Amino acid sequence: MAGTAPNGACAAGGAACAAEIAKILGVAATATEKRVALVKCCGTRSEAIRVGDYNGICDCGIAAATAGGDKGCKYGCLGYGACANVCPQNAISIHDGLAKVDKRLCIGCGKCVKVCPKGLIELVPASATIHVLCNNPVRGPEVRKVCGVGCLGCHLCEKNSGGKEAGHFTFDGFLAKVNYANPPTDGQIVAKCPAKCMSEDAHFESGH
Amino acid sequence: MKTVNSPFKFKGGVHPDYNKELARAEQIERLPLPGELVISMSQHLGAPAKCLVKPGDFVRRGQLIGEKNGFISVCVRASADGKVKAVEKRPGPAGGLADAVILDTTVPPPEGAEPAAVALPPLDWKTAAREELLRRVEEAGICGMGGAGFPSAVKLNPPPGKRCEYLILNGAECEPYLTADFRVMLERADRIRVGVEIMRRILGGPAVRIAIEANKPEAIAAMERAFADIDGNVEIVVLPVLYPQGSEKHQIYATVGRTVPEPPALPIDVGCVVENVGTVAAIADAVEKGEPLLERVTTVSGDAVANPKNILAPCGTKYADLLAFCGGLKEPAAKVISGGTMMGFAVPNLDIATTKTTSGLLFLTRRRVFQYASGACINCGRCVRACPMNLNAAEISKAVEANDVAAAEALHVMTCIECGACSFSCPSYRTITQFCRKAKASIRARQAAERAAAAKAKAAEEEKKAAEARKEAK
Repeated sequence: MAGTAPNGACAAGGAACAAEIAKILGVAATATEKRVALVKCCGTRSEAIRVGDYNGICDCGIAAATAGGDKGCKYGCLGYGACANVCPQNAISIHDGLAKVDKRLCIGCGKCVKVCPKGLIELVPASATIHVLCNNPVRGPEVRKVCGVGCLGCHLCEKNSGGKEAGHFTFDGFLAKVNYANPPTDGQIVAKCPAKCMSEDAHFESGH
Repeated sequence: MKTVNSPFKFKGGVHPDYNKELARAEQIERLPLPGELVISMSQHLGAPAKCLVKPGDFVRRGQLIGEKNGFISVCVRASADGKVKAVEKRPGPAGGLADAVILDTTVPPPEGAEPAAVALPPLDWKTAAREELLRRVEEAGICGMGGAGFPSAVKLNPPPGKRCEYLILNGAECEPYLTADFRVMLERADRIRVGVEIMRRILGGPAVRIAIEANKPEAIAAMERAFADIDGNVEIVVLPVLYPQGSEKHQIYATVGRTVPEPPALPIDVGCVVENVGTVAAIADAVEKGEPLLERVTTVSGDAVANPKNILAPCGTKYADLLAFCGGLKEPAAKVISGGTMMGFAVPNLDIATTKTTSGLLFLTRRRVFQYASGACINCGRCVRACPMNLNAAEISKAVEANDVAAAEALHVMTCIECGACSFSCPSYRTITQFCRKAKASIRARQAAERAAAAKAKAAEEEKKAAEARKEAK
């Protein structure tokens, strides 16, 4: 054993588990922060364009392998529930063609992150409240052709949260990404997003 | 040279409506150069080529724009003169995103540019060394043009200890609607003859079998004429009309009676190399004329097309340009399929471009497109009877439906060739082929993970040993 693994590495166990392990090992507990899965897409059936009828197996992986899936946006959530099927906590459900994570049930195990063929699920700190719900890095006009709520890369969220120096956002092509090491907290920027792809709390509460 | 009937018939298979009469009489027509080409770096099986150009570059026809990237890979050359507008990810016919070079062919060459030259110097195949011919096949960017796109240079270079005894020319073209190979056999028979002689030289003089389905008598006659005076062991094998007769494994069985074992075995393990007739003609052009694989014949057909045609178009032609050349649609199309109806892919729009493996583009009306909801297996056994690979497709589909991939693996799902005969014959409209694909994909992913883990463990072991050795040395 190398003895280098942090005692807080078990996402499902959380801080209590880390403390127990630290006690057994006789070391200080590593500070852990609860992380939960976030589905970075908000293109519901009414907002995102479907380019075909898919009547194959209800599985995202196989739908994605069939001409990239029936969604016009090649980066968006297909809504066939591969993530929901692997979730050990039943924390994910499909609403209006979109996967939603119940923040209270999610233990941050990351199985959904691995199974998503579009790679649009990310583990984010549970304390973060402002999210960009889009995964499409192409230019705004191209995004608009396929989705009514896709990120246009207009940088307004960055401007309204104190500019580039504040460092709340990073950009991948024409896609804004929240810098979760330094997340924005001002809810104003959500309302000001012209693309309507931001959310103040994206996590769905299923009422389990 | 003689013509024989296929002595071996494989088990299973189905008889879909062939509908070849729509385009079979249409002579190959050359498409006028489209204004924009979308040349994908992933036109073949294996690793995508590495793009060598950037936006703003002016490229010449035949210029290398994508470098071969790995052992199972193929280089890409520009299909026409033009200015690179962009290099970006574009969806291919099967939906996967791959780097593509967007070429504006309306831009004239810059001032003082050298006149376009032949991309590669012609070779005299009668005297050229085997290695030289092989290198040419590689440089010309040739891959199998039947559909899978396996790199030809790899296929023509058997690993040490394995010898090619039979070179089989695949002219079965068992997919419904498609007539591209048929027209190539009729109109380019002399090129196929030269290609065969070149490949015979490369492979060390194997026997040649030219496999053609019985529903193409004109093609059989054309091949008989072209090969009438050839010496050596050459036979034209007339195959019964049965789908999937064009499958590599079934063709080997139908012509020489050998069975390719389960994957990862390849045809060369039973001493056979199978090449599509179009590929053979491309090899002849690459060697004799120095012409890389830049264009191919694609059948544009279906009951929605005004004038079905067999079109010789540059690789990278957008589907919309092909359709316009055929006079557009006479009726609204409900489904557009890239490839044949049995194994092709439905495409979402016409901005997708042809590749080296695009054998057909079909536009079907509502009458020809069946909308269905998949039901439960009723244990009728039709898929089992139809499966040409002797698989129990019903059990496999049920296992995958229950997420039991291990059970599907035990039922040999990896031997599935995804021909679609099971789905075609299912009265409950189950997507059996898709279940097999799903199982195969997850088994392949697991195998890749296992290989990576094994490599990592081995590296760690070696590192440990090295550390111990260093300790001892101290």
